[in-house]
Amino acid sequence: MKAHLLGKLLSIKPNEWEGVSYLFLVLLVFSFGASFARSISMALLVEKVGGDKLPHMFILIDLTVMIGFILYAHYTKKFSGINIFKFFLMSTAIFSIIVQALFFWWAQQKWVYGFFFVGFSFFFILISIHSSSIVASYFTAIQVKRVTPIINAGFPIGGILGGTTLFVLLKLYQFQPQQLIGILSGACLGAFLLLRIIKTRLTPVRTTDPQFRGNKNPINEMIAAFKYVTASKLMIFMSLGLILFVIGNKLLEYHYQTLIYFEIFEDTTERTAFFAFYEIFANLAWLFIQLFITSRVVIRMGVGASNMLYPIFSTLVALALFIYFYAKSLGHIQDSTMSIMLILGIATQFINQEMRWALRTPANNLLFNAIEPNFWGSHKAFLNGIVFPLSTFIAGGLLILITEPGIPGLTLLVSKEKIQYLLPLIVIIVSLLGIIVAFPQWVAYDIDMFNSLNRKLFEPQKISGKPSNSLKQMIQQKLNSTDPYQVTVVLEMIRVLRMNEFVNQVGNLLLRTQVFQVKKHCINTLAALPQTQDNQTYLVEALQTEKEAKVLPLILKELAQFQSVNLNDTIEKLLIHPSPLVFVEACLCLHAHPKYSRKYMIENKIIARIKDSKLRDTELYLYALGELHQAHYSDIVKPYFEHKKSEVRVAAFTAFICMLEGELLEAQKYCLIKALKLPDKEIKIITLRALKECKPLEDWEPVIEILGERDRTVVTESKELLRLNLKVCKKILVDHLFVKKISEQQRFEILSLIYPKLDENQLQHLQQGAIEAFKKFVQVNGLLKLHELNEYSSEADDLIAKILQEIAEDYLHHVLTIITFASEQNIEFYQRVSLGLLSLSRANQGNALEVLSNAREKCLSSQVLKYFDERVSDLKGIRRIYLVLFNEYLKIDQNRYYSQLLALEHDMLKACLLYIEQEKTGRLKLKNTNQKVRHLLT
Amino acid sequence: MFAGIMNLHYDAGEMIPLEKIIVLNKVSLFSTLKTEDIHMISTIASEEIYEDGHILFYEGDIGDRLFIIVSGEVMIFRKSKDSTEKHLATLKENEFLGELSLFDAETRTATARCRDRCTFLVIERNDMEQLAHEYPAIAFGFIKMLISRMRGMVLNNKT
Repeated sequence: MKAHLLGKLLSIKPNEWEGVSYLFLVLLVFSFGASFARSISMALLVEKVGGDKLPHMFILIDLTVMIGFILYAHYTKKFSGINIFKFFLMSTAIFSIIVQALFFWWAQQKWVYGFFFVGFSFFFILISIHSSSIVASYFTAIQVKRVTPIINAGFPIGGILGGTTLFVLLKLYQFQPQQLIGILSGACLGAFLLLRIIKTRLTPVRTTDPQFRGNKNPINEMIAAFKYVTASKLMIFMSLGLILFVIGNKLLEYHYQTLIYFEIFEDTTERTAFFAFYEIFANLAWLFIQLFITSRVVIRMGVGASNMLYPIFSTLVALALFIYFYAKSLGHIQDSTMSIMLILGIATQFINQEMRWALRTPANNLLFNAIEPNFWGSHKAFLNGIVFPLSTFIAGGLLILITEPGIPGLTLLVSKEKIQYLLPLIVIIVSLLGIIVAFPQWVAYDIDMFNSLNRKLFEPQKISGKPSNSLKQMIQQKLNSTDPYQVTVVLEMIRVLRMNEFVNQVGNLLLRTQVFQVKKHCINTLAALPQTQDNQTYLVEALQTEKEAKVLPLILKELAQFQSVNLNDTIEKLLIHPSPLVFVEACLCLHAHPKYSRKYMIENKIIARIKDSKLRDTELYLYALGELHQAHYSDIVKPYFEHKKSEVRVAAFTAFICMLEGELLEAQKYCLIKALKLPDKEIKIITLRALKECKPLEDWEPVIEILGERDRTVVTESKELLRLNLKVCKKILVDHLFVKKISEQQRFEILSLIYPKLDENQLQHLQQGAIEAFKKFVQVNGLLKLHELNEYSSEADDLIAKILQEIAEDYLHHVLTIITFASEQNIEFYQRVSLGLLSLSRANQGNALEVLSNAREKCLSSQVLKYFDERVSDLKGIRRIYLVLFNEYLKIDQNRYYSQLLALEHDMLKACLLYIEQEKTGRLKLKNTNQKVRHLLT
Repeated sequence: MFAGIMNLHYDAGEMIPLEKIIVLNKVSLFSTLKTEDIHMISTIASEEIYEDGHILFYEGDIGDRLFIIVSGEVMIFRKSKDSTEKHLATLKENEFLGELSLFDAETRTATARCRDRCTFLVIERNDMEQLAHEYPAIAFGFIKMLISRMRGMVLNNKT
């Protein structure tokens, strides 16, 4: 019960607790040790080396981090995230042992303290950045939004515990700081052991793909990553956002540290006491926001929008600072109003420091959802190893220019009074730019997230290769190649680009080659080029010399287009050629020629061949007759509509349509509609195309029926016909949508035609229907779980489970269809999200949920999201989620199992149930069953 | 060969369509297909029963049939150079043999012999081709299955 309440409070699902707890503990234990090292390293550095060396130390840290990230980007592709994390922890542990030894032997050496400070900061930065990749790899895109803030809470909690323990050890037990470095090593080893447990107990959801593990050296890897990063819009906007954030952050930090607090607390002890007091409350507030607010904000607003919050807050706080100090400079505010200044200082520091960790960092890390896990390392390396130091340099340089004297010609030194409002003004501008950048970043995130969904399945392989310097030279070279594949490719290029200058090369190639594929492409290419004497001569010469029966029809077909040349005598000789194809092409060529007089003889020859039952290739002669476009022969082809061979049926129908045009076609409309019910898809396509030429139909039923067919071409033709007649058939489509029982595919296709034309009531009706479908989806999943619990074991069990799964999928498709149209999305969105949700890969499912959470339609999407996010595994879980989603109890139990399965009205399912009954009783009850059920059982 | 013909009970026709669907659904080759696709395949699957010892096909025969074992066991063996039989595998219920013959007409790479009285569902290549032409989803299902088996083989080779 307590765990349930806690889970609800923290938005953690029962199946996520294990992962969340272990990762939280890892961060807590590491942060505990790190808080010791952080305080001790800073204190010792200032004491032994001097505070004035701090900027040098920061530069050293930046340099080491930059080099470290180059290696990091390389090795994240080679090793798993958890192994890298273990390596970092073990290295930090060894480092702290070495430092402990150095403190023991060379405590007088100043460099030891610098080495400790820089080294620890280096490991701390790498570990804190890598930890977010680890968290992300164990959860899906949608889970990570909820769990990250909870897991990351390990950092402040560990920090508070570590700080308190350090204080107690120093003050009560009189330890020297140098003696406590070993605690960092202990904490790292503890975290290391926890990671070993994680590795054995948990399975990562998102892992790097070994296919992309390159073998380049780190520098080349970084260059490749840089090219990849700069090609990604999301990364460009993330980099811009980071630059703007760092500049704003550094300027504000300078403002409250050196201008506000310094003025309020002149005494150092007083200032230190204030900081200690602030740290306690600020850490607690950070923890509270991280645990209870961040995940809720991110879930409600989405990843893209929540990245806008931080620049908005910093704009507001900078605006407050600017107004205050500008008014003060004008004399509107008296110097005694220290309390307002203190409030402003605290607010600025809180936004700058605590809100950064509680809000900006988690929201920004979630943008990595849209990046392939393979590239997390290189992208993070780019941002933190290149962009971050660069931004720090810009901010630092700006501050030096504004505040430091002694840079002749460069310094912009202004008075302290002016700096007090000038800095907030710069921050306002920078933060506003940050808000502006967050918009395209949001769009880029949504697009990349969508693309990440099943990327491998959908993305075609990119073809790389440099274009040739000289296209003409390359074509000539390829035409002479001995590889027929290369020759045909280049012929295709000449044909598509209609490159007339190659007519002689192609013609000569036709006459000399022996390869059929090359000949075929040469003929097609010559025919596609502008009709000149040249290409005509080559074709005629080829016709006279060609012996191959396969090639002759191709030449004849193309020559038929050259009607200026009279080759009728030559072609007539081919009417007695043994090849039916040559005969047909010769007939068509002669019949099409304007100067040929014996056309009637040609027609009779074709009809004689059709009627000769001894001859094969009836379909060929039927096509030929159709090509003659003689309507009075339509009765000759009609008897072949019901031929047993599909190809003959199709040929007869194609010929029939070819013969009829205009009014004649209109008169045969009844025949066309009847043809839509034939099984041959080719006939359907021809008929639908022919119907486009006719007046609108009276009965649209057969056309709408085709929307549910599997063949895309048939569906597209049917849709085209309906679209052309939408004014007439809209009402019937609406009827189908709301009244009749239709397949999910039909629903999708109908909506793609009429969705924008639906009124408010109809849209509401659709929404209601989708909610009902979602209810059914959950119910069928409940039945599936109940089926798995069924004690009676039958041969048909697996089949029943599969049928139930398919029924559930159908209901889900119904819901996704409505979400797609309500979100103004297309079929690609629908297909990707469906595939993602039904995928067995948790990563893909998570990506699909993340895409859904970004969809414009919110009501249904949030329901689907809640259901899948729950990852229910038993009937109890389904009952619980049903109650949460629909506020009613799921009425499914063993007593109603049989009747509820029957109520699904699925023929095969019904047959399975009757089959099981027969297994039990020995009797088969076929009463009240339809023909399909009977067929399945007898 | 003669013994084989003697043992043949051709096209027994004892299984009802639903039973064929139930069997096909359990075969890994078809398990990823939708129930309606499996139903379509069941219409071209004929039931055949053979007695113990019947040779389904010899090594080197042209293959054009897929056998799905409904009951019984089938031994797969190859003749070595010294004409002794080398046993390669024993296939059981819901397993299948000759799946590649659905796509090409290459020769059989081994000999298959019934160990008990065996019941099969048999699919002819021509029928399957026709079905795959009419219902590309079925062909796509096969491609997916073959790819996953190929991946498995590649992984096995690597390890």
